[in-house]
Amino acid sequence: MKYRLVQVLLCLPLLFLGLGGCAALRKKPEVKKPPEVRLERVLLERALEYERRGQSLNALQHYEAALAVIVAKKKGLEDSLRRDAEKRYHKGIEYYEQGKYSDARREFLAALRLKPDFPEVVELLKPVPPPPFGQYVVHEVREGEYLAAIAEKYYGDKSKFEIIARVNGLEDATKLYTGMKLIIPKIKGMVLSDLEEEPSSEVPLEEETIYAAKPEDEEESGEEPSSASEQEMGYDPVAIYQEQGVTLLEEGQYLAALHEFQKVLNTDPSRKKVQEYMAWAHYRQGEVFFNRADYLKARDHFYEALRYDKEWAACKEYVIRAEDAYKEVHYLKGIEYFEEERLEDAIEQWQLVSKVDPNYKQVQNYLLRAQKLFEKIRELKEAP
Amino acid sequence: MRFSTEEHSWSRKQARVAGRIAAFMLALLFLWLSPEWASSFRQEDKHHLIPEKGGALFQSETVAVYVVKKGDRLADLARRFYGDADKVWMIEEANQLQAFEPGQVLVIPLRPVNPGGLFADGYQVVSILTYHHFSKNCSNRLCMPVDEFARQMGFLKKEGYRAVNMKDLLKFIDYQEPLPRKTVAITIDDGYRSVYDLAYPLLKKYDFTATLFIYTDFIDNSPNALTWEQLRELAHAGFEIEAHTITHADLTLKRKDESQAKYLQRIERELQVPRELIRKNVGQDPLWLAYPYGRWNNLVVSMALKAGYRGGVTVTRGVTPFFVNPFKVGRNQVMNPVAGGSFERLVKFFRGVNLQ
Repeated sequence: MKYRLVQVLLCLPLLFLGLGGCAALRKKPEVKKPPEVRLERVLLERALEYERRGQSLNALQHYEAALAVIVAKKKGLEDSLRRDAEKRYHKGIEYYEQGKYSDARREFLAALRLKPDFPEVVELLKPVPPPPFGQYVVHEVREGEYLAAIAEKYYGDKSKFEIIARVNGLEDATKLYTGMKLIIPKIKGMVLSDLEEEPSSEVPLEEETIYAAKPEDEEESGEEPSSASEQEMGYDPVAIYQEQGVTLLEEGQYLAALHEFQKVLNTDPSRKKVQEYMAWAHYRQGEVFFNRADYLKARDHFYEALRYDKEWAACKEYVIRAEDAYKEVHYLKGIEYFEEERLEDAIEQWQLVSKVDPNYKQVQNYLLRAQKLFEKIRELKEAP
Repeated sequence: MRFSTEEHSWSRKQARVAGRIAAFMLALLFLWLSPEWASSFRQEDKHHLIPEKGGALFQSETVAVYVVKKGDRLADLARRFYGDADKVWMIEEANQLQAFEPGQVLVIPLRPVNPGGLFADGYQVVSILTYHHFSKNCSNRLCMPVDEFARQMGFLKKEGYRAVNMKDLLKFIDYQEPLPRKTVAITIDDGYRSVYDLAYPLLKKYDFTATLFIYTDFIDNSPNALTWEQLRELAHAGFEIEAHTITHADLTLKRKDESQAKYLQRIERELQVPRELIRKNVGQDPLWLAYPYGRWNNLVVSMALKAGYRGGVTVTRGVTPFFVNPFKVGRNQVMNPVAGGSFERLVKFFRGVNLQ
């Protein structure tokens, strides 16, 4: 037993040695680089030394030499950057022509990193808008099908795959998946009627122009898959206005709430729930104006509320009450002014009533009388 | 006569001496001036660094070398070299500055070096943040609680972010001017009054500005809306006012029983009128359009281009590299309630890609 232990203990250093050796082997043997001679530094230091010692001409000579090295090194670096940039640029064009747009973009970016002043690359990095198109066919990709073949099928020209790639916003035209739906826009020289005879999975020609395109269609015809789903946005850009409207409604800020609900109805005028909110906000705002004795504004809001619910009895009653109150208030105000001999003010009040209801009580009679009186007084005043 | 000739010759001799002295003086003057001359000649030579008087500065066409003196301030240097104290970051980034002290040698780029923000391991991106309404108490997603907004702005400041307006971003997208490496754009939609009452004081505190996308029917027209007067004040404080249509209409939506011609006419108005109103009332020229509800299509984009817009922003999440499509620029709406860490995830400034 003891012997065993000694054996193991003896073996351990050997094992370590072995492992160490392996690790050393696995490590790349370090190539001893010759110490890099920084020519420019050596020359510059000499120049400075000469200058310090007052040997100006020698200093000058060494400055000149250092400069020559620096200029050459700078030019060498510039040349190599330019060469590499050109290489990446050409590689990018190669990818681009193959329809590998995201690979091409990476190459262009790499080229631009090496050579920031590279207008051709900047131009190529700009997004290309998809060609405008009217009619199109929807093609479902079958197993093993590739884009050039699809282009040949529809356009009789393999190289026209780029049109399909652009319109469908493909990042890589060489990567299609089975069942993927592609829009094949109608282009000049393409005879769509020929295609309809073929028994295939194509949906028949859709009479859709981009001018009539709805936002949903944009999901298919957009350049990138940027058609925002709620998840991508993290929220529904319409629903948030509805929420804000409800908050304002609860806080009693009816006018502000109306602005929010209107935004929702701007996208979909038929939303029932929001219509109800709209009606309710108008109704409550009507009450606010009614209680402030601002009867005409109150009436207008009740009218608006009725647009959403024509059978709203309480609302109808409010319309009548608001109008009556309006007429009565101004009718009585008119009488008051008349008695105070403020003819002009009285006329103004009665005219307000008359505008809403010409047959209200004695308003026409009163108006006529007041106007005649007013005329007479003016004549008397003007007479010498 | 003789005397007089003698006198004459004497005076001639005197003149000769005087002439010599003058020539000598001239030569001295020339010698004294010559370094100035020489340097002014060399100024034409664009590849050399030229010592400026005082020895603190050397300058070529693309770069300047500056040795920091006692009492120097970075903002003053930025003003001196770029005419803009806000460009301090150009000096900071070019020198990877940690400290700023006398004797330090600074290389000051006089031309944008890397306008696209491209690096071996990726490229620069800008996060455009979006807000709408602010309140002390919020009960829905549209509304941002003021305390939370303050925390977010504090985070941006602490992390060294700079806030740019959308027009600065346009120059970045055009590959014309670089942006600070850590950049965000703060945008606020619609024109709620709470922007002025609650967000503005906070932004001012952190020395940030924002871009407001307003729909003009709302302005001056609701107790909850901003007024033109307030917008002018914000514009004066460095905020940018951009367009969000007249009525906040869904531009992609043709109304029922609306003819195609009427629809196009309506959209044209929705796009043009806000530009005119903002120009008239605020004195800024809007170049950006925020599509209401983030909804756009090719028709809307082409009409926006025609109306003079240079870009359009959506509500799709995403960050913006310089090679973005300017009419499909995504934004990151900050939603209430803000889950822990979610804001921090929205602000990114770099996208890793191997560009080696």
